[in-house]
Formats: sequence, structure tokens, C-alpha cells
Amino acid sequence: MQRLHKSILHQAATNPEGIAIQFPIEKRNFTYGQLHNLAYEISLALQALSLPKGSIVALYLDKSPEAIAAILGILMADLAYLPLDVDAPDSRNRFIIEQSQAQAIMTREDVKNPFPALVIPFRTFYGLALYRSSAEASVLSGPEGLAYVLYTSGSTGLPKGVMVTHKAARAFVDWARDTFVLRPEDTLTSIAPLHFDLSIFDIFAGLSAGCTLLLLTPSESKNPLLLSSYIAEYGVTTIYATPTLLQLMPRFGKASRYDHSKLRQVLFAGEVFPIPALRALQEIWPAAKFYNLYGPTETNVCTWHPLPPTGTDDRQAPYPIGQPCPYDQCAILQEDGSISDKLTGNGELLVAGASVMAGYLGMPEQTRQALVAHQGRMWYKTGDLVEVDSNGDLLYHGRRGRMIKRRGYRIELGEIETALHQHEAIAQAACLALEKEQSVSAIWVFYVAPEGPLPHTLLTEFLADRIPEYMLPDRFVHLPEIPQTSSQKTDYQALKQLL
Amino acid sequence: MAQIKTQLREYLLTELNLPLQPEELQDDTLLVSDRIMDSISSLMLVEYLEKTFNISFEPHEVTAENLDSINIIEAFVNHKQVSAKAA
Repeated sequence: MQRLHKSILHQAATNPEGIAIQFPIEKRNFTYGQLHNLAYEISLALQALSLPKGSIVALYLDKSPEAIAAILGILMADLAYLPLDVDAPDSRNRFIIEQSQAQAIMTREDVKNPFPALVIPFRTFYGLALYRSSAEASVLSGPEGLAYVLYTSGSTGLPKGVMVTHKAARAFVDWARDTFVLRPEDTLTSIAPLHFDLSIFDIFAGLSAGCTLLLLTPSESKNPLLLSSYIAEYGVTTIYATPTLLQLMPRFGKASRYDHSKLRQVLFAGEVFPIPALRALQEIWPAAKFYNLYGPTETNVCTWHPLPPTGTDDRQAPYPIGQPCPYDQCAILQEDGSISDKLTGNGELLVAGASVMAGYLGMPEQTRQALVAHQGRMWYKTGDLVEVDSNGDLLYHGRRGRMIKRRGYRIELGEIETALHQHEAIAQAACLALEKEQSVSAIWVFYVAPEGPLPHTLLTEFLADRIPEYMLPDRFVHLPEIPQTSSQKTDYQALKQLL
Repeated sequence: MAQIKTQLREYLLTELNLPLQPEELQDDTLLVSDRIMDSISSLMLVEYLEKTFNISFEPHEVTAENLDSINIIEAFVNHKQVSAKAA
């Protein structure tokens, strides 16, 4: 089996002086040789733990060259990495560490043990600290060749760990490297946080092609003016980001002040790109090619659509998510329950093929529910509604159920409600997403508090201890009661009238 | 001096429509740290400050440290206006 990081080791061997990572916030860089040496040291330290092959090592690290080296070191040691969101509430990270039965955690040497109830110090080296789990050895069985686990929002209020093998990740990474013709002369932005699946492209497609990764922290990524200056300063050729972030560039990036002439391609994914915002972006980057990539964490990128050259069409509706990538097949679960694999009509998109996940870690029931058997294969039910247009391209028509996409993240509105119900003053809560052109502009909360309305800051603070920042609602509305349907369920349609 | 603050308050409450009652918005209310102002509102605020007070933010200056409260924003605007004159 070819492993995910093998081509990166090859780059380090053939071009050790090449710049692997630029890290502007600390004004330093890492060559491929340095990256490899640190990754190797990390893999040796991990081997000293004598963990069974495929054990999970959680990363509790800010984005940095060392964090990338840690990812490589974990893979080199035949282990799987689980990137935690360092900005997420501790309660969520504790849940993930326990639920995943992670056998080790890596963090920075200069922070004190972040999870003292769960882990014991093992050793420190090169500014990193390695802890081992204080729990018994893991009893969860992962798939053969597990590479990483990414947690996504779950409707029951508990996040689910998507397991991806080396083989599944490589299906996408190898295709992406060839399709977007990545070369050592390329500089790629690394905007996505490590726990977000867009980072798989940056790290593995980018580094396996010998590119330079421009590693950006979350605060840098939210600053379009800074991004604009970096694109010029570092000669960025390829950007992969969510529409939420990209659409800030025309208004706030002052692109005319900077030389963006090296930028040759813009990849976007994670949500719908509204056409007016996309046109504005194409106007500031007229020479770049644009690509719409689509895929839930469970399948990685599974369909794609190259946009026609800038200025050559006058499409008004959002662009299609396009055609299946060559390693996957798509089918459509029709309204009547039949499955059409000819890609006609409309219904829920199903995906089977090489890039599909190996299941949710330690959640066999949820895994069973997420997959459907058809013609002797297992298909992942994306929950996304699609239609096939006259060109045979897939058009995205929104989500089934109460999941939304915001800033590229999947959010189960039920998870926010579950968190609100933990507040002792709140009797009832319901969440709604305000949508404009198929993209979420705001999350509203309606709640009943018998003692009277609660301050916005108090509610936000309460939620910030329980759910990640990207899930935090924008508005809280106090109501005497939440409207109900005849079956005593929250009447979301009636609530919509209140927006 | 007081004029900057008055204009700012007006902008934050009516244009940015921050989720606060007027009496809750004090000069030292922490807008970014207390998650009252999100990142897009911060960018709109920068745009407003540049236009209204004829200043220009450098890329690394668009940060929470310079935008976190009415007091901090006023100090930053003053500093930019002074350094613009000096230059």
C-alpha cells in the first residue's frame, strides 16, 4: 500500500533545501529537510510509546510548521492523527479524546497539561510535549491503514469521528496533485485549520508535489487585506478556501495595491458561491482559473466543476458541483426510494468509491445509518439534494434535514439547541438559519426563559464553553413560547415568519 | 476628541447593528474579545474608519488589538492621524 506521506518523504530526499513551509506570522520557514528531520524525531518519540499500529494520536497544536511535522511523524510511525480544534471548548475536546480513545496527545511544551484527567506526560522535545493516555489500551478497532480522524457536527449534539484511510485519502490527493498540476514552483495557501478537511489538499497534495505551503493562522485567514499582501509577497499561485472567506477579497483586500499576477488557480469548496460575489472575485483575479470542488468530510472531494474562463458566460444561478471525480461514483436516491446510478432526475446524492470514509469511529450504529447498500457496494448518503442539469452536471439544491453549512463547516442546528438546553434559565430553544442565495448569512435562536430575556453576551459566553466558535448564533430572540406543530414539535415554519 | 467616540457609537449601533442596547455599549466594552462584533463587522468597521477619518490601515493593523473597544479604536484613529501628519 502506498502511504499518504510517502511522496512528501521523496520530496525531502530529492530537494531537502526546497522551502516546504512559509510561516509569515513568525517570519520563519521550514525547508523540506528540516520538515523531514523533525517529523523523523517525532516518529521515533512515538515509537517509544510502543502503541499498536493504527492507534490514534490527538494533536492539540496551533497551526505551525511543527504541527505539520507532527502530522507527518505520526503517519511515519504507522499511527493515525486526530487534529483537535484548539479554539473549541475544552468539554468538546475532552469528549473527542475520550470517545476516540486516543492513545497519545501532542501539544506545545510551554503549555501545561491541557487534559490532566486524561493524559500523563511522556516526554518533551523540540518545543513539543508528548502525553500518553491514562486510559486502558484502546478497544476500538479502526480500519486497516487508518491515516486520520476528523470530527464533524452530529445531530444528537455529539460530534462524530470520520475515519479516513491512507488509501482513501490518496485517491483524492493524487488526483488533485495531477489535475491542478502542482509543481515545486507553486506556492499554496494553507488557510483551512488542520481539523477541517480542506487542509488535506494543502498539506498532502501541496507537499507531495514539492510546493511551498504558506501556513496561515486563523486570525490571518480572517484578514483579507493581509492575505492580499501575502499573495503578492510570497507569490501565491494556488488558493483553496471557502466562498465565505474568498468573497471578502474584492471588498476588503485592496487587490489593486498588490501584485497578484502569479495567482493561477482558485479552488473553492464547502458551500455555495453566490454568483454576484463570485463575479466580483473573478474581476479582481481575471487571469486565474476557478474550480468548484464538492464533498462532505465522509467522502472527501467527490465531484468537481471547472468554471468556464472568466467573462465567457453569463450564468445567473450558482455553478454546478459538476461531475464525479474519477475515483468515485455518484448515484441519486429518488423521492420514491429507488436508486438511479445513471445520474438523472433529482434526489439525495449518494457516493461510493475509493475516497469514501471507513466509518465513524466507535459509532457502528451511526455508520450503518449513513451508508446504504446498492448493487453490492456501500454508498454514503450525503444528505445533500441534487438535480442533474441538461449537461449532465450535478446541481446542488441544499440540505436534507436540519444541517446547514456555514463558513464551510457543517452544523447540525440540533447541536446548538442541545447546548442551549443545558442553560438552567432556558426552558426551550429553537435555532433557525437565515439563508440568502443558498448560503447561510446568520443563525438565529428563539428561546423561552421564564425569568425574562438573557443578555446576548451571557448567552454567547455560555455557548462558547460548549460549541465551537463557528456555531455561535448571531441573534437571540426571547419569546413567551415557541410555536408548536400539531404533533407537539417545534414549528420551524412558524418561526421563519418571525425572521 | 469626543466627536470620534460619538460617531463611532452611532456607527456601531445603527450601521453595524451590533447586538447591544445603547446603554450596554460602554467606551470600554470589549467588542471582539466578548464576541459582540464578528470578523466581517470588524472589516466593515475598518472600511468605515478609513473613509470617515481619512486614515489607512496597514495589513497587519487589521487586528482585534486595534478594534476591541471604543476607547481603543479612538486611540488608534488618533495615532494614525498624528503619524499621517508627521509623514
